[in-house]
Amino acid sequence: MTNPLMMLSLIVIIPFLGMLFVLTSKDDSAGNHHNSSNVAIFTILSNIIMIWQIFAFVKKTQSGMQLQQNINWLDYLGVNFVFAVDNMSLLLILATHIIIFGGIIFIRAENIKQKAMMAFSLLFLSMTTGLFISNDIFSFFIFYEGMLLPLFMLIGMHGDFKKNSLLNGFFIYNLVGCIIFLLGILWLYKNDGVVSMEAFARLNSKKTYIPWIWLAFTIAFMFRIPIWPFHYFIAAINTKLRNPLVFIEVSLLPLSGLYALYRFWPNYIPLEISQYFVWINVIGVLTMLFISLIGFANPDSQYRVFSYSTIYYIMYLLGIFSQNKNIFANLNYALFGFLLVMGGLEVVTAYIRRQELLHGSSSQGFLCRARHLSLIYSFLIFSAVGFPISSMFTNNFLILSQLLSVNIHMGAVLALSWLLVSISLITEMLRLKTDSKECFLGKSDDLPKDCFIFMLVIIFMLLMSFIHPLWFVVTSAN
Amino acid sequence: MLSHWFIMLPEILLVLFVIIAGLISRYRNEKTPKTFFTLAQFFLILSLIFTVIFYNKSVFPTFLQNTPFITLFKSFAYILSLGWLYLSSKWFLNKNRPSGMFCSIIFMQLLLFDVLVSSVSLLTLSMVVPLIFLSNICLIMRHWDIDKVKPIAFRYAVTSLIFTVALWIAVTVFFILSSSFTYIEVQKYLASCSHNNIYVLIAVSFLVAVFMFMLGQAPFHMWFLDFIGGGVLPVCGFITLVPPLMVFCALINLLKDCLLPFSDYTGCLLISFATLSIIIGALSSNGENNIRRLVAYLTIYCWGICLISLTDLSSSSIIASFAYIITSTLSFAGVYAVFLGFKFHGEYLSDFDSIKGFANSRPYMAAALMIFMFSFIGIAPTFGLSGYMLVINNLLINSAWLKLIILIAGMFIITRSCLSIIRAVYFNNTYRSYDRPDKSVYICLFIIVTIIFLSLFNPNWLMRNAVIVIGGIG
Repeated sequence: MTNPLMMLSLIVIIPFLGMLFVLTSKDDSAGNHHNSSNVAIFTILSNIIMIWQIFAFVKKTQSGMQLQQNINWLDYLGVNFVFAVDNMSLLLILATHIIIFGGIIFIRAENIKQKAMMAFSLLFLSMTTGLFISNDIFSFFIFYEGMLLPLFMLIGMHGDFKKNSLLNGFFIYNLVGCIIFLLGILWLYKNDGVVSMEAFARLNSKKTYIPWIWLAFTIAFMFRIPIWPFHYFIAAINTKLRNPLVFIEVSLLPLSGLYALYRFWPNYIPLEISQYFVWINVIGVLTMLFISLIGFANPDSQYRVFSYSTIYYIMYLLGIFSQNKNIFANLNYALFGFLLVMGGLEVVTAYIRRQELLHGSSSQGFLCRARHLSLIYSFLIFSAVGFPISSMFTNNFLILSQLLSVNIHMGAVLALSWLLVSISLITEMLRLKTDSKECFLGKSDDLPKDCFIFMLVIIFMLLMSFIHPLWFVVTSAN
Repeated sequence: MLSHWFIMLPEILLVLFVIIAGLISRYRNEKTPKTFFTLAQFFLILSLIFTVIFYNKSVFPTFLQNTPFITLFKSFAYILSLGWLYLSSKWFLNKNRPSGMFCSIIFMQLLLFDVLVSSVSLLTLSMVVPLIFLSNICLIMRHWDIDKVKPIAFRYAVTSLIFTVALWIAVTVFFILSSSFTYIEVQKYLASCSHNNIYVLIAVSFLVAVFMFMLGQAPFHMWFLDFIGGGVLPVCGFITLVPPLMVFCALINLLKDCLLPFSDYTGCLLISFATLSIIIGALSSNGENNIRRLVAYLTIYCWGICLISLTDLSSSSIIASFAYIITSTLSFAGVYAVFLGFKFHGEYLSDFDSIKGFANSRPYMAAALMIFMFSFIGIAPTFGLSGYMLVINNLLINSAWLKLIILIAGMFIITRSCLSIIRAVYFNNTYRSYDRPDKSVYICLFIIVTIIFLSLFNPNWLMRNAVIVIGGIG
């Protein structure tokens, strides 16, 4: 592949094609129940190679989106798909591919019907990738909304929800956000004919309707982030999911909101608007405190992972609202590390829970007997709580110091929530490391080889991301 | 003179089919639904070809005129009819029932709708509309359980009689006032008359009401629900897919070529009907346990959306409506194809409980149904998004806030009922062994899904020429 411009559309199309292949795979008889997951794994690996290739074409020193590609879509409205990438989008695409890959490796060993799950996961991956490489508002909207369809199906099929109203509510709630976004886009299009994201960022905010459009966009994106009062459905859904692949995918929903806010952040925000950011900060830290307290009190390991991911998402949100250039510059590396840790933790947590259920045993002391699992779990926990072993460390430090400098009380609450969630994660780890007679799990129940190798790769990537964030990029092309 | 016969070939072929089908029914011993379908496809394709060839030629220009815009709708209707006749023939084969009469009525309806959409005279309108009502009665009577459909046919006959009278009153009023039946002359009169003329207002209201009745729009929607709930599947599918399309085209012609001076008033009427249809369609679909009736409410809702977008009659409004019609009609065609797969022990199922867990035994059909349902919601990355986007964009351009609110509210309400179908089909562990559907169902679904995918990735191939054609009448 020599044409880098084709690659951008290819990384969206490959998972989509993979989905079609999964649909045609025979996966119902006893001997063939890995066909669909094999297709999914092959598809994701192929795409990871493509993404790695694209990294080589992106100039690290150049700011803004690169490798722009235009695809005609709806001439009547003058709407085209415009794709482009930068380091941020590529890192997020890579991270989502890796963690979904991890989820699939875990699910592969499960004795459940995987075909539909794999198909929708690949569709979700295609939409997420499209979102990260979209460089115009319309295509961004299409992929932003497109994430909902596979997610709804995955949650419905693997969520075990007794109440249908919750599932409907989740979908309609997210649809409301999308409609607000669409109305904002069309209003902008009507007034300025703007479809490019860069042009939107450059728009003169003194025009009376621009703040309203920006407000509409912000509200629409906040619908995806579990911050009060937008937290209910994501929290309710996420805490009831027991399937790690689906959990990981649902956990990527706030990432889409966060990324959208980051992308649509205007070049200049008048003081009349930015003065209200303090309210978002206050609501954000209070939500963090609330969720961290629940996570601290809740013995469910799944909820602890959820509270960890939520707190970090809100922290990154506050980082964006702080308008600090250093935070903006480091956000990509921090999010990359965070996603790997969150995905890894969820897979390991789900594995421990599965072993518990399988053997009808307590998991207390499991890590004393399973050395591989212990190594992986400990590293991920230490990385999650912010030890200087991954790229998250720098950004956490930056955001915390920034918020402390803006408002010491707010910064203190953030630090407290961070501490609480860290304690809850470490407590869980200590529980797993304290031997107990009620634990019947042994060495043979340790992580399977494929899972262990995958986790080692994640650990390696986390370590390397701390030393040199883009260590894997082939520099000769630049 | 010979050229006139050529221009009339599409209509002649439709009539010819009815005659030949009648002769086959009468004299041929070995006749099956396949025989009639083979014959029907031959005549329908030829009729379609000649319709396209003579797209702007008319034999009686005082009464009937063809334009590219009309040809666009006719072609779409013929293609849909062809597809649906193909699927219906399988239904008749499965039920082992004769399909000759059904095919003949369909062809007669196509002929009548052909005349309706080409009509440029109120006189033609007043003659063809009662015949359409009559053909609808014949269509609903195509049921083996005649006692079941008799009350439906009776109710429809009474209602359609009232609307026929209303139509005749309107036409008479216009004739008395303008001394002509032609759209152009009536339009000239309307342009010069007072907008407070009570007779004109009543006549306009009656005319619009008749079209709303034919479209099955609320509050005149009960016949449509009766037909879908009580009719046989081939009738339900045809009634949903083809007639509304042709009536919609005829309505645009009437509003643009005849009632344009009263566009403010007709706009108000359309908004009222559309709002009512959106609200009733969306709300009622949520409480429906019969899946066919649920889809009927969905149809009412979708046509309400088309009307709400149409009200200002600009070319952008018509394009938006047309785009929405294409997306929703294709989805309805797909849904009815799936209905042919809801078969258990030879019986076609229609209650909600019977489709629970459908995805477990028919995954591909369930996947297609899911795509169509999400398309009705208008969510990316389905085909429905482009239709919704054009409609919303058009309303925003016209700053039609109230319509926008109605549309969005309806969209959220309808979402719930579409999700309920998806939930029943997918999120249920019930396993039921349905009858193996005919290959034709899969073929049709494959074609529809392929068109949807192609249009999703490149909507221009479907829209570009349509925009040129519709732009010409705007």
